[in-house]
Amino acid sequence: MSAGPVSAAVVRGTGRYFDGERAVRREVEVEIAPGGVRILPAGSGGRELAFWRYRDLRPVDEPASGGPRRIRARNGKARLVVEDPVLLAALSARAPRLAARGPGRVRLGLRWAVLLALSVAVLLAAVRFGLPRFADEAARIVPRQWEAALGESLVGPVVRTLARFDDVDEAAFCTAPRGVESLDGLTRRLAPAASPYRFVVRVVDLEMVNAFALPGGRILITEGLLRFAESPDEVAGVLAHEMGHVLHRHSTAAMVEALGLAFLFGAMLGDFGTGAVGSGAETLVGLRFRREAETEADERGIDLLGRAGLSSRGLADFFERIQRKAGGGSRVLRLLSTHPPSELRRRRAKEAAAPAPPALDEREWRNLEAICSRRQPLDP
Amino acid sequence: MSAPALPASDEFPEDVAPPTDASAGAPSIRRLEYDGARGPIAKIAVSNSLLTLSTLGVYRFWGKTRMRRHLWSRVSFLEDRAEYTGIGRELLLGFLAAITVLALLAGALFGIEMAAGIDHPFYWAAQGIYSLAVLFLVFVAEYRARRYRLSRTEWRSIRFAQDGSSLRYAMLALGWTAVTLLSLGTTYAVYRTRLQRYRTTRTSFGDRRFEFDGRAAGLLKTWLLAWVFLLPTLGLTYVWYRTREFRYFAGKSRCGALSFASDLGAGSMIRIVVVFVLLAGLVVGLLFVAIAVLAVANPELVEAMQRAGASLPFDLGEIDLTGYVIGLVAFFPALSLLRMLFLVHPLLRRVLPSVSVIGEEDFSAIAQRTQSMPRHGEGLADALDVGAV
Repeated sequence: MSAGPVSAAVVRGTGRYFDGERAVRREVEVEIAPGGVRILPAGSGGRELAFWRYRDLRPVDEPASGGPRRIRARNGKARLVVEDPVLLAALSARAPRLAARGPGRVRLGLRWAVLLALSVAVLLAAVRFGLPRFADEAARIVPRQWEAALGESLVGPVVRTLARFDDVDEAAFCTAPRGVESLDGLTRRLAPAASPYRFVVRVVDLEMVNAFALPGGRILITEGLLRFAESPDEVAGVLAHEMGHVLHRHSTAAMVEALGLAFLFGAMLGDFGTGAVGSGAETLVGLRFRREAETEADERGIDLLGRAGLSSRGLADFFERIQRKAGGGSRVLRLLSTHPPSELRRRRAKEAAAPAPPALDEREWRNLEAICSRRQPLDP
Repeated sequence: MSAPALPASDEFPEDVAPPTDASAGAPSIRRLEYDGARGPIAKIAVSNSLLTLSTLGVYRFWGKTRMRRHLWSRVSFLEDRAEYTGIGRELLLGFLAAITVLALLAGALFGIEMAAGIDHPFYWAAQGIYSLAVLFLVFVAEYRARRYRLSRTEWRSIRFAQDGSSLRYAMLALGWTAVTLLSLGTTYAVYRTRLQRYRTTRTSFGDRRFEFDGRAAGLLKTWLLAWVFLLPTLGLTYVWYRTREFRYFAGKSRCGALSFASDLGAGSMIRIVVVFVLLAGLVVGLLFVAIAVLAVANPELVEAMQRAGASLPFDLGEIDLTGYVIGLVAFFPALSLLRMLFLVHPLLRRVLPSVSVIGEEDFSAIAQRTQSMPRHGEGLADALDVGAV
C-alpha cells in the first residue's frame, strides 16, 4: 500500500458528522490516517468520534460532479458530509467504493444484471415447464361436480364470444327435435359405459367450423362444422375427439394454466387487478391445446369409436381435409388451427380404421344436417 | 390567496451552529427545501423504464429505490439533507409475500367459482366478499407502505417511524368509506381527518412523536364548497380542497416544540394537475392516432387485433408489427417520464417549500429509537398498485 509515504504530509479537512444516535450536526475534523479515516471533534482536543476503514467507506448518494458528498461506513448508522475537494480526492484515492464510477459500481451493476437475467430465465422456465405440470395436477384434483358446474357456467360466455367473432348479433342453439334426437343418439353410443361425465352436445348456429370441449362433459359444435363434414362418420370422429379432451380434463387444465399465467404476469408487471378470474371464458375460446393433448384426445377418440363399433376413418378424413383447405387461407377455415391437424393423427386413425357401418343412417344424417331449422336464442 | 409571507430559511445562517442547535431568541421559522431538477430525474426515469421493460418488470423494485434515493436527497431542512435508506431487495421480498396472499385469495374465489358456477348466488356473495377484502387490503397496503417509507427515511442520521396497526387502520378506513358513500360524499372531510389523525399521531421522528389536533369541523365548510362545484369544475375543486386540507393538516401537526404551517397556493396546484392531465391526454391521444394510422395502412392488422381481442388464435406471420410494438414500448417510458417530470417533481417543488417549521427544538434531545423496524417493503402496495412515487 502507498499509505506510508503519503501520510508524511497529513491530509486534514473539515466535515459535518451525524452519529446515528442524536439528531445533532457536529462540525468535525477529518484526518486521513493509515488504513482508515479518523473523525474528530472540531477544534482542539476531544475524543475521536469514529475510525472508518477505507474499504468500508460507501457513498450515500449517486456520484455527482462537485458539491458535498455524503459518506457512510458499511453497516453503520453514522453519516459524514465532506465538502473540501482536497479531502474528497484523498478519500476517493484510498476508498475504492467512493471513486466516482469506480470499479465498485461497475461490479455491482454486473452482478445485478446477471441476477436479473437469471430471475427472468427462471420465470420463463416456470411459465413454460412448471405451469403446465402444475395445471395438469391441479385439474386432476378438481372434483367432477365442480368441472360440470364450471362447464355449465361457461356455455353462455363461450357462445357469446364466438358469436361476436362471427359478427352474429344474436347467438342461438339449433334445436330441431329430430336433429337433436340424432345427435343425442350418437352421443350416447360414443360415451363410455362407465363415464364419470354426462356428455351433453349442442349445436351452435354459427358459420365458423369449430368444436369445443368444455370442462365436465359439455361439448359445443358449430353448424359450420356440420356443413363441412361430408359424412356422419366425420361428425362422430370430431365428437369422439372432443370427448377425449373432456375425459383427459384438458380444458380444466388449460383454464388453470391460463389463470396462473394471467396472475403471474399481471403481478410481475405491477398491474395486478381482480379481472383475472372472470376471463376464463375467453381463454377457453382461444384455447390451443398442446400437441400432446391433441394426441391423447385422438387416441381416446379412436378408442371410443372402436368400442362403439364405428369407423375411425371419419376422424382421419375430417382433419385431413381441414389441413388441405386451411392452407388456402380462407377466413373461416383458418380458425380450425384450434385443432392443429397432425400427420400422426391421420396415420393412427387410418390404421385403426376397420370396415364398419356408418355412424348414422341416411334419415338420421339428414335430420342432423337440418338441426338448425329451429333455433333457440341464447338470451331469450 | 396569499398567506402571511414567511421568511425563507437563508435568513438563519447555520454556520455558527454550536454542537447543540438550541439557540436563544424569538421562535424561529424555517422552511423545508427541495432542490430537485428535471435533468437528473428524467435520466433516472428513462433508465428505469428501459431496464424495467428489458427485465419484464423485475427491475422496477431497484428502479423505484433509485428514484426515491435521489428525490429524498434533494430535500433538506436546516441545510441537512434527507436520506432514503431502503434497498430494492426489500421491495422485492415484500412484493413476493404480498402476491402469495393475493394468490390464495384469488385461488379461493376461483375454487368457489368452480364449485358453485357463475350463475349461483353464492358466487356473487363470494365475489362481493372478495372485492371487500381487496379494498380492505388496499388500506392495509397503504398503511404498511407508509410505515416502510418512513422507516427508511432519515434526517441527520435519525429515522422516522410509524407504529399502530395496519388492520385497525384498514377497519377505520373501511368504516369511514362506507359512511362517506352513504352520505353521498358529503362527509369526506371527516374520513380524511380521521385517517390523518390515525397516521400522524403514530408517526415519530426518532423518539419524538408527532401530535395532531385537527378536527373535521375545521374542514367541513371547505369540503362542502368543493363538493358542490365538483362536477361543474370537472373535479378541479377537489385539488383546491386538497390544498386547503394540506394547509390545515400542517397547521394542526406538532412534533415536540415544533409546530408547522404551510402557505401552499391552490392556483399552482391546479395548474400542475391541469398541465399533467393535458400532457398525458396528448400522449394517449398520439398513441391512438398512431394505431389508427397503422390500422388504415394495414387492414390485416385490424383483423388480427380483433381476434386478439376475442382471444381467438391468429397468425401474425405475414403482418409487420414492428411499428406497433415500438409505439407501445415507447409509450410506457413516455408516460412514466411525464409523470415524474410534470406531476411528481412539480408537486414536490411546490409542496415541500410551502412548509414552515416553527419553534426552537433541542435536537440533541432527540434520540434514535431502538425499536425494530419492518424488514420487508410495501409489497402489498406494489402488488395492488396503490404506492405513490
